[in-house]
Amino acid sequence: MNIIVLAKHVVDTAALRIDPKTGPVFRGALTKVSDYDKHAVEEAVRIKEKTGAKVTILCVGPTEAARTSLKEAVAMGADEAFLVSTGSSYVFNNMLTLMALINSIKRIGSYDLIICGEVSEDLYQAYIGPALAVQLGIPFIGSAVKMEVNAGKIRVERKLEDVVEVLESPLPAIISVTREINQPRIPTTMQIMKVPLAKIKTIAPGELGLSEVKDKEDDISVLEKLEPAKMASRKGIKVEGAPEEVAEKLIDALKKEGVLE
Amino acid sequence: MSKVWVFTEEPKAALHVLSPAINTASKFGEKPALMVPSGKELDGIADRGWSKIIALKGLNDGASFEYASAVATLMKKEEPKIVIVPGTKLGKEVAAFIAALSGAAYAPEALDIMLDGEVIKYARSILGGGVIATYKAKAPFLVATYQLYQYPPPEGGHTIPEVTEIEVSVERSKVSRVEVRPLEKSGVDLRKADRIIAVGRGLAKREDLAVIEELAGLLKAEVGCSRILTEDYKWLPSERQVGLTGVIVSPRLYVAIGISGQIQHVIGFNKSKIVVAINKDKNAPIHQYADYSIVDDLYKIVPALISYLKKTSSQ
Repeated sequence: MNIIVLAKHVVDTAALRIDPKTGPVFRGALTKVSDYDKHAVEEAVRIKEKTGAKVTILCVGPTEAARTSLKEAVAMGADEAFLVSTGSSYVFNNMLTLMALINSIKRIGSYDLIICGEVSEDLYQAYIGPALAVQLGIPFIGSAVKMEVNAGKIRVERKLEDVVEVLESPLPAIISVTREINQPRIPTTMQIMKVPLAKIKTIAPGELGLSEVKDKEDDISVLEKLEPAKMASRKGIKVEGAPEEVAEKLIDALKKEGVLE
Repeated sequence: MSKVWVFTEEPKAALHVLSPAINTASKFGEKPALMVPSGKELDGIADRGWSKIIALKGLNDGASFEYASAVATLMKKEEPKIVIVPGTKLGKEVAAFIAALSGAAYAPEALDIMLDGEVIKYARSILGGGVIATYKAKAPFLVATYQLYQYPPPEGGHTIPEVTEIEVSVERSKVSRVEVRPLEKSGVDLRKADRIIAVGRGLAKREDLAVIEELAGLLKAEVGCSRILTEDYKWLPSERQVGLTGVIVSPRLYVAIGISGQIQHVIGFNKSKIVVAINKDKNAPIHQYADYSIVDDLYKIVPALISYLKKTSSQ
C-alpha cells in the first residue's frame, strides 16, 4: 500500500509580525509544518506500522522546507519526501499548487491513499483536498476524526454540526483529517538531524512541465493586496490595585457599561 | 435566472447568508435565487425575498459531491456570477467541490464580495486572521462561503416564488454513508451567548476550571477558551473554542483570563461589546485588545471577583 501525505510548510502565524501600515513581514518569519498536516503524517505512519505501507510526503513550497518541515515529517516515520520548490515564495493562489501536486503524484506513480490536514494554517481554505480529488477523479472525505483501512476500502468517521457520520469509500481516495484524530509523535532534534537528505527530493516546477512560480496570480485569481486586519478600537483602561480593590472597580465599571444583569 | 445563487443542503442555514446574498444580488439589480435538495422543509425560508427557488431532485442525502455536481451542471447552463454556500461543515465541502468542478474562483469564509465593473473581487482573512487578502477573480464566476451567525437575516413576509423541481444529471459519489448517529455535545452555542468567560494557557491545571466555572455562574456567562485547551490539552470540547478555528462570538461581555491574545483568538472575540483582559504578563498582546485590562495573576483576581460578587449578591 502506498500513502501520500500532503504536508504544507507555512509561516508560523502565531509568531508572524504584522506591520500596522504594510501588513505581514515575511522576512525572517518563523516557519513550520502546518499543525493539521502533522496529524496527517501521524495517521499515515500509524497505518504504515500496522500494514507496512510506504509513506511519501509531498509538499509544494519554499526551498527551505526541505531542510525543516520535510525532515521533520520523515523523522516522524515517513519513508521519503518530495518537494516542489517555489524558491523563496509562499504561494497564495491555488492553481500552481494544484497542478504541481497532480504532476508530482503522477510522477510518484501508484498510490492507494492520500491524506492531508483539513485546512492549512496559513490560508484556511479546505480547498486543495476536494479540488485534487476532482482532478484525479477519486473520492474525497473531509474532516476525519477516525479512519480505518480494510480490504481496498476506507471507513471514515467525521462530525458535522449535529451528527456523527460514518462514511465508506473505495481506494484510492483522499481523506482530510482534523486535529482530533490523533496525537502526533514529536521527533527529537537528533532524529530530525539524522534524516539523510537523500530521502528528500527537491524539484523545480519546470521539471514537472509547469511554468515559473507566480506567487500571487494564476488562471483563476489574482491576489491584489495584503493588509493588516482592522480590530475594534478599545478603551484600554487599566484597572489597578490590590485584588479586592480591582474586583470592586471592575464589577462597578461593568455595571455602568450595562453588560451585567 | 438570477446572477446570484444560494445553495444549501440545510435550508435554515440560508438565513445566515441572506443578508450578504441580497446585498450582492442588488449590485446586479436582482434578488438571489435559492437552491436546495428536493424534499426539504422551507417554512420560514421561502418568503425571504428569493427570485426563484429550485429544488434539485434525485440526489443522495448528505452526498456533498452530488450536490456540487448538480450545482456545477446548472452553472454551466445558466451562467450565474456568484454562488454562495452557508458555511456549515458539509456546506464548506460542497462549496469547494463546486468551485473545483466549475473552475470558479473560490472565497471560503469570505468577508466581502465586491463588484468593480464586471470584475468580481473578494476579501478573506488569512495568516491567522491578522491579515486581510483581497483577490480579483480572473474566472468569470465566484463560489463563496460565509461563516454562520455573522449576519442577522432580514425579515420574511415576501411573496413566495414557485418552487421549481429540477432533475439534473450528476456524477454519482463513490462515498457511501453507512451510519449516522446524533453527536453528543455539551449543547452550548457560544455564538448566542450574552457573556463569555474565556480561559487560556494561564490556567495551570484542569481542576482549576471549576473556579472559572464558578465565576461564569455568578456572572451568568458561558465558559469559552483558546485553542490550546481544546486541541492540545483536550480539557474542554471544541464548541467552547473561540477563534478562527473555533467560533466567532459577539457577546456583550468577553472576559479573557490567562489568554495571551494571539491574533487567531482575538479575531474570534473582536465583535464583543466590552472586553476584559486578565493576564499577569504586562506584555501579553491581549491587553491591547481590552477595554478593561488587569495586569495580575488570575489566581489572585478570579477568587477576588468571586468573593466580591458573592458578597454583593447576598446584600
